[in-house]
Amino acid sequence: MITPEATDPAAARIVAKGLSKHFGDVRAVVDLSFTVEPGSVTGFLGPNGAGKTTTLRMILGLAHPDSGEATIAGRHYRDLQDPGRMVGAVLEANSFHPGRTARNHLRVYTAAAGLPDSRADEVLELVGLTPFARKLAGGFSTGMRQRLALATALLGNPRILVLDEPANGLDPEGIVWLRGFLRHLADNEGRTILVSSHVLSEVEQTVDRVVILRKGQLVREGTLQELRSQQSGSCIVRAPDEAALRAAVASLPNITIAKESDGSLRVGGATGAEIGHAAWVAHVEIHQLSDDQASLEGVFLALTGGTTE
Amino acid sequence: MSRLLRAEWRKLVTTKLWWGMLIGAVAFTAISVFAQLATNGLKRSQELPLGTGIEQRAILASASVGYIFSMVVGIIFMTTEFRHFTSRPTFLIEPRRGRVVVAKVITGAGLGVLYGLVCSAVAVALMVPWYSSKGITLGWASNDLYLVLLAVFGVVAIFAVVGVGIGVLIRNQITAVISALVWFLLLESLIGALSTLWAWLADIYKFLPAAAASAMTQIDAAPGRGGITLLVPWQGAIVLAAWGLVFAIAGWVTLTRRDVA
Ligand SMILES: Nc1ncnc2c1ncn2[C@@H]1O[C@H](COP(=O)(O)OP(=O)(O)OP(=O)(O)O)[C@@H](O)[C@H]1O
Ligand SMILES: [Mg+2]
Repeated sequence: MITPEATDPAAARIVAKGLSKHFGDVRAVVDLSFTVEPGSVTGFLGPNGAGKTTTLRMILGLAHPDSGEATIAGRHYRDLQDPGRMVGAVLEANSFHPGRTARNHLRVYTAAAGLPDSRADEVLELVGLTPFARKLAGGFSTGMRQRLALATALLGNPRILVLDEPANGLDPEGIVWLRGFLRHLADNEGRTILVSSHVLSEVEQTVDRVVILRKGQLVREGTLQELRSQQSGSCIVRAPDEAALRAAVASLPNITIAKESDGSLRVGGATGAEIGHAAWVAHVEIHQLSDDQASLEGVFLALTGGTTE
Repeated sequence: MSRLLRAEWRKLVTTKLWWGMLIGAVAFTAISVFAQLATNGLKRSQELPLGTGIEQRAILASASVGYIFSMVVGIIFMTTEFRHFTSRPTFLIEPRRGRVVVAKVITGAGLGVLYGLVCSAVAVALMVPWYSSKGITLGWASNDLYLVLLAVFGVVAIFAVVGVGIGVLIRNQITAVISALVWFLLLESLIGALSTLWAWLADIYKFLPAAAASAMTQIDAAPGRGGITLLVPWQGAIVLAAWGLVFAIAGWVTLTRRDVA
């Protein structure tokens, strides 16, 4: 097993600067800038159609941006020296010929990257595909295809991994395996990983930082910690006299009131204590007052405009 | 480049494509030559046409139909990358796409050499026993059959490069195969037929790829079918190879500019 060369860690930084790309009328990516720090696992998040894949393709030199640029270690992908050993990427699970065996598929790319052929067997072992090495890739299940794609990305033992929805199609067991695997690559081997997903919870336990995208635009970039601290709690309040309750809490600054389907009110922007106090002062009878800390997923959904996009 | 050539070689030998199409080429060539032998044999009582140089050359030249298979194998070899998205890992490892195209063209040429050799061998394997059973001598030297055999080999081989070139230019596999077949089996013959009417068209026609290929096997330099004058064989070979390279270069230019799926 080859280990990544110890070089300047900054050499593994991914930078997107003002990236834009459109397809016909669709503005897929709009003036997008962000940085992926070396040695971190960064979640690249956004709902379907947010522009994640398009951005990753521009970073990898497969698609040309209309404007802006993406660099890896300060260079455009096409100018990288031996990119096969520096960057590994999974774009979609189905980048293989169905009539070629898993092992032969990998041996095409060991040849192209000038790697020893033994590396093909090593990565098969790494992703748990050794028993299927001589089986045609066309007969693989979705999960096996994801593993083969990951194996292809790992061939050159790259310091940077760019993975587009690698958990897609994996069963719960596979997802747990993937999490552990990515954490292992990041923690023990210090790799830079950029992994996209449309569900935060899927990568929540794996990533250090997040880059969140909505309609091709950056809505948040930072650590998971920063995102957590963003959680603005809300309370569920139930009162027999709804109008009186509304009047009572209306005095609180910067609050939002929304009616829930079960008739209770969701009051945002105030703590339970503040709401309770306001109700007590106004002599409003209350039957329920409970804190409803929005989950991280809730914050994410709020940022990305919900699931309706 | 040697890495890329090794990778292309592995792509080629690890799927059924090369031998599957080769079986097709063998069968098609055999049927074609055999049909020529059998039908010319019927006329034997009249003037012994099997013995004349012009007939022997025509029968041998019919083996060049193998070009259809070497062209299609070249197209598929290239377009498979786009169809199954193996273009992604390929271009991730070698982002200089032009180099990949060059490796493909060279590997395609190697494939063409194999197909050319096999198609010529099929023709020889059928003609030699057939003629000896009839007691007629094949004029390898006296009837310039060696030259025709070389031309058959050349046509079949060069068409594999033409196929790779078409495949870079037209990346959709089905579209590429169908367009190529329609062009070579229908449109060019149609232009050939029309050019017997208009001299100016004939001047263009002889530089088209299929006409260039016919020129290669047409040793009988006399005005060809319907009075169209084709190029001389060596010119035909150059023109045909040039077509393959023109397609490949045009494809390379568009490939470098466009996005890879
Ligand atoms: N090749 C293309 N041609 C036309 N439109 C495209 C193309 N690729 C992407 N788009 C459009 O650009 C937008 C962004 O797509 P993209 O695939 O980047 O989103 P995504 O964030 O990866 O979504 P998903 O989570 O569904 O994978 C979408 O509206 C999509 O329809
Ligand atoms: Mg996507």
